Amino acid sequence: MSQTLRQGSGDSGPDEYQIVNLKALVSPPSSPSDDDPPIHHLPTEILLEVVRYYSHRDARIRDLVRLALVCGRWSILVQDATVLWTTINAAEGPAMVRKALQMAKDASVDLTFNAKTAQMKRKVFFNCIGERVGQWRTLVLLIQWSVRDFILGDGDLQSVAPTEPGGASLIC
Amino acid sequence: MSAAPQVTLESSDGEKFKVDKEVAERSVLIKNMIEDVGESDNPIPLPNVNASVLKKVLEYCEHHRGDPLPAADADPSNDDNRKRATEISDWDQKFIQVDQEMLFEIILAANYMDIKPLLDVGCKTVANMIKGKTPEEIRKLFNIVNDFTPEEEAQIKKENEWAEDR
Repeated sequence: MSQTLRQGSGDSGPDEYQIVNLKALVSPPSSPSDDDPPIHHLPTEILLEVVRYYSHRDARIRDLVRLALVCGRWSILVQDATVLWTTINAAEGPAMVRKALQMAKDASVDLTFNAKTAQMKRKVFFNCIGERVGQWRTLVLLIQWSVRDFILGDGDLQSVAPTEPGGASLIC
Repeated sequence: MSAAPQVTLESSDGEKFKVDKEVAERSVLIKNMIEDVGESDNPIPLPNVNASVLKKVLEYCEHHRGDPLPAADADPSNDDNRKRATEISDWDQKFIQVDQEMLFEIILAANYMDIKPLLDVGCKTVANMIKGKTPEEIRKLFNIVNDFTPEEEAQIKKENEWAEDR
């Protein structure tokens, strides 16, 4: 790879030469080798951007788990980025919710429980997230019962007869 | 009538590109360079971008020359902003239909030259490529070697089973 030196534009001074010289001293080059697949040429922060776009869907935790299984580099990348795991939806089921909470470590989390899409009972969901109450950034509840019937932590509310066909949404 | 001001960019392999200043300034890097150095006839060197990639990048900048610049206060972690941003326009989709090597080169160049919308198009495109694929399919797609040890592999299979279990 040839490096084109800047032709004296006056104010590019000794600093620039120093950088070029330092580059020449680094051997082998710190950049990935040509044998690597091109995707390995992307720096971590860009790959993280890709993953953020990729996982912006309903089944994001499941997708993240899959990505971590591709290779060592991706595995470390996905597992180290706690921020990727902080959007947690009961629609993904208890295993994924627990996994996400574990991976999010002590980061703030955004939680969603939608009675129509949830793959777990509300009681189980609240049991999972209950001990992390200090980390809740947002909690969105979409339930089919009237608000007055909704009692946090009071057992399984699935047994409460629906009194309103609509829905209630709480955001705290 | 005076012509639009132009600047010359020089790729890593020494090719020079004369473009309208407005086009070149889609790159925040170049915009800042011009602001710092002032108007000059000297070519602006881009030692990290070769001619074929720079040509593509400038094609993008030319097409988007009139676009409003991305708002500096747009919070990328904001869900609504992201949702809005997940779509790629028809022109951009066609533009980014290149081989993998070029795609990653464009992404790297957009990152280096600080052209956020182009970087986004690149990242979204890669994200779309891996959408719905299994780890093995992703490895094949990008020619990635499975470098886990047999022990890790066993653990992976266990986890995989669990992740596939809907």
